[in-house]
Amino acid sequence: MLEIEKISFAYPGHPPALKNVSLAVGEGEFIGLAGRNGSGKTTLTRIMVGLAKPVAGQVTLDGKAAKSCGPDVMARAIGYVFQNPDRQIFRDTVAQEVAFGPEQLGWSETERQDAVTTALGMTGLESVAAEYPRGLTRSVRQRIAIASALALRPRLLILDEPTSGQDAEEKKQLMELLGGLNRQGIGIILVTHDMELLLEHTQRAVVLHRGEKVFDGPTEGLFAGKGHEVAAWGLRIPDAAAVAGLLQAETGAVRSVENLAAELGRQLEGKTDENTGAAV
Amino acid sequence: MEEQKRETFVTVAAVGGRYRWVAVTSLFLAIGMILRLVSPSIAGISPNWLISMYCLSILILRPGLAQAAGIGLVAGALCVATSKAIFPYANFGSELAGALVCAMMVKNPLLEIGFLKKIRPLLCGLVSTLVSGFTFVTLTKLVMAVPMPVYLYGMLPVVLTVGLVNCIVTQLLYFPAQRLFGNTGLK
Amino acid sequence: MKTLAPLCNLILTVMVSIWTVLVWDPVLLAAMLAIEIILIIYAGQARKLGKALLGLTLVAAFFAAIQLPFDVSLPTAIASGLKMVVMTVAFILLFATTRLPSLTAALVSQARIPYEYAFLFTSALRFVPDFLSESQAVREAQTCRGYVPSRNPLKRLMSYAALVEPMVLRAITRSETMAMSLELRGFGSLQRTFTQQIAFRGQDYLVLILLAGITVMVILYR
Repeated sequence: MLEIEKISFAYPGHPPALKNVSLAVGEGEFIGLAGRNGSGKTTLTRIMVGLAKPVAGQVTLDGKAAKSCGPDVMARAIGYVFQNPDRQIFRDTVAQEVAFGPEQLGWSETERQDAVTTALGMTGLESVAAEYPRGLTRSVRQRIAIASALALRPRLLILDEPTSGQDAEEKKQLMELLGGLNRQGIGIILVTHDMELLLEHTQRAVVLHRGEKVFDGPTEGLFAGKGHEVAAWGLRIPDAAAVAGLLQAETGAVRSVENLAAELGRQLEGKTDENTGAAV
Repeated sequence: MEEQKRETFVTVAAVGGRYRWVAVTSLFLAIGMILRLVSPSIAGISPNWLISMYCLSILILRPGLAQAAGIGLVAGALCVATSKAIFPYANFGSELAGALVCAMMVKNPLLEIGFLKKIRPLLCGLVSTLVSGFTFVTLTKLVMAVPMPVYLYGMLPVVLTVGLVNCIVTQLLYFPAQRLFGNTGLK
Repeated sequence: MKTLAPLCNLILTVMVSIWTVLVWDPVLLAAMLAIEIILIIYAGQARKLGKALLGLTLVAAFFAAIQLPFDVSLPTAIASGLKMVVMTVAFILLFATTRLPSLTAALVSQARIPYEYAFLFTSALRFVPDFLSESQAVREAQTCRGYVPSRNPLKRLMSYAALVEPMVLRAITRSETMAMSLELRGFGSLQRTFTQQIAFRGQDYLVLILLAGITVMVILYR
C-alpha cells in the first residue's frame, strides 16, 4: 500500500535525521515504530503523510508517486493522529469536531453524517457526540482525534505516542480500540517508546537508530536473543521478553507478562503429569 | 461567617485568581504578534490580529478602563518594538484608543440586549479597529506631514477594510474562547 | 550604549526619535542613520540589522515615492522616508544594546510603570517562539484532517479560524496554570527586588545632559 524507498532527510543546519530508509507497509498491518528520541521515527511518519519532503528517495502510495501530494491529499488514505489532541480541537461538540475533515473535503451532507456516525461508532464516542470536547478527559479527546482521522475513511492510521499522559487503564482501552480498528482492516503504525505495548499489540516492529533502520520484522523477533543490540539502540526490553529469554527452552515466544504466566503454568502442569504426579 | 469565606474562595478559584488577566492577555498578545507574522493576506488585506486579540482579551476579562488603557499601551509598545510603521510611536496612541473604546463598549448596557449581545464581539472588533486605525493614520499624517490625498484615499480606506475584516475575526473567535474560559472543570 | 543604564538607553532612543520628527534635512537624517548603523555593527548585531534594513528601506522608499505626485519636493520625500528608517533603527539599536529584563526592571523601579504591565510586555514577547511552533503544529494537525485554504476570500477568512481558535483555546488553558504559578511565586508583592544592574552612574548623567543640549540645538536649528 505504502512504499518508502531509500528516504533520506535532514533538517536545515542539522545532521541527517534519516539515512536511506526503506519500508513497505501492506494493507491491514499493525506496525510498531520504535527508537530513541531523535532516531527519526516522527520524521519518517511526517514524510509518509507529506508533512515533510525527503531530500532523496520517494514515497509511493498504491503504486503512484506521492511527491506532489500534500498532507490534505494524503489524509484521504492515511490518517495522522498527533500526540497532543488539543492542537486541533476547537468546535463546540464532538460530532462537529469529527465532521471537520469531511467538511473540508466538501462532502455532501449525507456523506458527512454517515462518516461522522461511523467514526463515532468505531471509537465508542456515540454517547458523547453532543458534548463539549474541551471539557472531556484527555483520553476521550485522544479518541476524538482518532475519530476525526477515521471520518476521512483512511486505510492506514499513524499514531504518534497516543498513550502518553494516560494511565494504565486508559492505555489498555486505547490499545483495545486500535486492535479493533486493525481487525476491521485499518492498518496501524504506532510510534511508541512503550516496549510493553509494542510487544503485546503489534505484529511487526520497525526500529530506527540514528536515522537508520536497524530492525524490521515480527515483533517477537526483536527481543529474541538481541539483548545487547536492543539496549544499544536505546530500547528497554519488556519484562515478558526478558523472562521469556531466560526461560527460552521452556516458554517459547511470549507477548505479555500474562501470556508468560499462563505459558509457565501450562508448562508446569505438563511437567507434573509427566513425572511423579507431584507438583514441581 | 465560615460559609461566606468558603464561598468566596470557590468563586476566586473558578475564575483563576488575581493574575489570570495578566496570563490570558500576555498569551493573547503573543498570538496576535505571531499571526501578524504568519497569517496570509486575504485579497491583499490582513486582519490586524493584535487589535483582534486584545479586543478578545477585553471582551472575556471585562477589565476597568485603567486596566484596558494599560493593555492598550502594552499592545502599542509591542507594535513599536516589532513593526515597520511610518511613525511607530503612533501605535501608543492608536492602541490606547482602541483598547479604551473596546472596554467602554463591553460594559455598555445597550450591548447586553438580545441580538446586540450576540454581535457584541463583531461591533467591538469593528469600532475598536476603526478608532485605532483612524488614530494611527491621523497621528502619522500630522507628525510625518503625509499629503492629504494619500491620507484620505490611501490610508483611511485601508482602516475601513481592516475594520471590516477584524470584526469578522473577533466575532468568530469570541464565543468558543468565552465558553472555555467560563468552563469550570473537566468531566 | 551597552555600558549605559537601561533607562538612559530608552531616553536616548526617545530623544533620537524626537529629533527625527523635528529635523527635515535629509543629509542630517542620513548622518543620524549612519551613526546608528555603526553603533549596531559595534554591538555585534549587524546580521539582525541587515535583515530588517532591507524591508525597512523598501517601505520607506515606497512611502517617499507616493508623496512625489502630490507636490512634495524630492528632498522632503526622501527626508520622510529616512525619518521612518531612523526611528525604527533606533529601536533595533535599543534592543541590540539593552537586555529586556534590565529594561523592564528600569521601567518598573525608576519610571514607576506598574509591574503587571511591564510583565505583560516581556511575557508576550517571551511566548512568541512558543506560539510560533504551536501555530505550525496546529496548521499541520488541521492539514492532516484535510484543511485547505479556500479561494473565496470570505470563506478563507472564516476557515482560518480552524488555525487560530485551537491556539486561543490553548492559551486559555495555559493561562490557568500560569496565573496560579504567578500567584504562588509572589507576583504582585509590593516588595520586589531586581537582580539587574540598572542604577544610573556618572556617564549616564553626562549622556542625559548631552541629550538635553542636542535637543535644544535641534529645536533652535529648525
